[in-house]
Amino acid sequence: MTERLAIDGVGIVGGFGAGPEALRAAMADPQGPNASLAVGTPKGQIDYPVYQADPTTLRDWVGKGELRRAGRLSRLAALAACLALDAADAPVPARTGRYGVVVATAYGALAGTFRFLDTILDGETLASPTLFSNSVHSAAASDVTILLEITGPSLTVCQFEMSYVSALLSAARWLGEGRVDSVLVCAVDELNGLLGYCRHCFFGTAGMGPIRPEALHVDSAVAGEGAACLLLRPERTGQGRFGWIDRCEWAAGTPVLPPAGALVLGADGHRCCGRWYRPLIDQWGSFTSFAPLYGAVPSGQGFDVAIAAMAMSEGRLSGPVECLKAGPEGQWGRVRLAR
Amino acid sequence: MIGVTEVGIAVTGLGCICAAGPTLPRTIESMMAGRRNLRTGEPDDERAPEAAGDPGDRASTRRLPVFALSASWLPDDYWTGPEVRRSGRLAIIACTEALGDAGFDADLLRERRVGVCLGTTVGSAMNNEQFYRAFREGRCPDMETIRAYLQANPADMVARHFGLVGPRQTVNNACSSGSVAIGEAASWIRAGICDAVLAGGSDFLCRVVCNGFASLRIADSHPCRPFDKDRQGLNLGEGAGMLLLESEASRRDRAAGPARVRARLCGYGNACDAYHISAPRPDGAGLRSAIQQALAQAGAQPADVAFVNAHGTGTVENDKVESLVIPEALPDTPFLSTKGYTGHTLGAAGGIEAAVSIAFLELGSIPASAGFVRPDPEARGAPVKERTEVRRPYALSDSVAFGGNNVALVFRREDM
Repeated sequence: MTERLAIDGVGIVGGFGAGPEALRAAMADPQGPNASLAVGTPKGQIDYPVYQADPTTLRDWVGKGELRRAGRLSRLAALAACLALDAADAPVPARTGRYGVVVATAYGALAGTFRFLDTILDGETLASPTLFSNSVHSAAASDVTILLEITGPSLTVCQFEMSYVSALLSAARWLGEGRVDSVLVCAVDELNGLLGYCRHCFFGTAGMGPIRPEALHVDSAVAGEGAACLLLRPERTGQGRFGWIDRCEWAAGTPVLPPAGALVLGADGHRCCGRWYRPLIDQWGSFTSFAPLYGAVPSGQGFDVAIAAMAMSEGRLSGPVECLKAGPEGQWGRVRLAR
Repeated sequence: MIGVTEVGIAVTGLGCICAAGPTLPRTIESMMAGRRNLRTGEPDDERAPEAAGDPGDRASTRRLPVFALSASWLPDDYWTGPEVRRSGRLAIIACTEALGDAGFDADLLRERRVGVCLGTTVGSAMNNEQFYRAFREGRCPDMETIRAYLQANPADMVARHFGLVGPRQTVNNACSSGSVAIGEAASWIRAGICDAVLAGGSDFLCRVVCNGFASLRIADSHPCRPFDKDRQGLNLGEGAGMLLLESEASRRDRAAGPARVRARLCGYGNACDAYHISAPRPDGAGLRSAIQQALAQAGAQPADVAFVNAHGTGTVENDKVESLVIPEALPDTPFLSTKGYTGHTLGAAGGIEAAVSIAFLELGSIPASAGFVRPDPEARGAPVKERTEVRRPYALSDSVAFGGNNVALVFRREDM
């Protein structure tokens, strides 16, 4: 990165609720999973705890009619984007090409995809065109541009755990090259029944939680969903009211980190990724994980960065903050925040 | 505003596999000869049910013609392995050609920071019908399909195959994915994040997606006719198109001397319609903006552009917008659609069309816009009906995607 990025707005929706007050309350008194997901297994139904997000407050910003065609993933992303704009005291942009939208999602519109498959498998006369539209991975980014009337560039990145850092690299380039004045960078993923079934098959009752980020050698991940959005601006025009991103990189090997105020790891109870964190913990001694607030979300680095930015701006976390996410092959996404 | 790119990013290697040919040279030869390798999905065609919908499965499913790859171009295990890995495998085939074309050998792949930026649609979708059917029926399917999916991210597959350590990005911008990937990759080079990037798009024919386009009633049951008055919709296709983009330092630092520059990527525009999830904005404002951005970054005037390789799907609405905007933005520039040769390859389209556009620019010639016969009286312009000589320095390739994302890329010949 050639220049710092100003974090001018933060919006987040997850199992803890939506918006800064809900997040503050969760940080003060973590409640854990807020819902359950019924999963059919060979031994009968099991109700797994999950962190389930509710996008209904999106109606505070967007009319019901405008939301008619938007799928759940889109609503989550749009709500986080509206919250980020609200936090920045920025009006909802209307027909501006100077805003960009970048969405990072590991699995895309899973629920929309399977609802579309339902119409095919049910042998309906013709599969639903609306459901097909909502099954496309870029539906969330498209709907954000439509609902917020953003005519600048858009990008959707699907790189599993590494989606967020990859997306953030592109957002930084857009601002660095002057392609746009502001970018909404949104991490979003959703739960559905099939995902719950897969998690049961892979992790069994380890998915009952609670998430134990510090137990890197065991599976303890509890599935979550939601969206986290940053409103980013370049250093020369941004205010940095939630701090600054002064480093963003994709690293192939374990990064050697300079001293920082806090280390936030994407350790969310997945053993396959947890082993990569061990050398960093040995190096630092302690770390913070926010996964117990929002659950195991594959694009969770976006949640970590958003929560860390908010906590740092309120003096609850000392800067600079290193946010790291490891992929299953040992790649690293590194984002450093400064006040 | 984004500044003018003074030199442009060097494209040193090209690779392509599509229904028109298994390599870029054969694709160009086939297009220039006007061949259209459309497969009609006859009942004895073992690929037909998967590619075009199984009429025995749902009474409503129409058998639609597709531009499928010839089985003889692909290794046997391509067909027997997990379907979800096909986007990645096609990308690897095109990357192998591009790296060979650039003389970028295994040593260089190990020594340099090489990234992957790859557009796809189907390649990221968890939409396996058999698995989902079993799940729905409570038959508790095993995880083999999901394990395959988790190993099938196309950018990851390419990076693993070639042992690359640079950043990876799988772009899912629907039908503009391949073009977006190329534009984003160029910025990685400009920022010094990578020495080289394999960039482009890849997608395979998937029954679920065929059903989706049938549901939208924008799939033609005949060979597609982009920009024709009587166009009825698109034909789906499959394939991959990949470019090797290199920094100047990387290109020059070769044991055998500087790598040849096949073209330079000078401009990238990306703009949204903010209009509708599945229909383009009728006034074409998003496409116009993307074209203007790309030309401005390239520092090119409309009169400098040799041709436009349009998205040209053959759908009524897409072609209406493009035939409004392109003749207005570039009034004296010939345009064509290559989808009459390749079908609509979705996330691969931008990659394939970038690769063939560079080859056309080198040749100084574009083929006829396949399928176009009768001009649309509502259009401001018409594509070329025959092979046409083009002798200007720039080429523009545009993509118009589901959800209203519009992208334009501008390439420049090295010798003009």
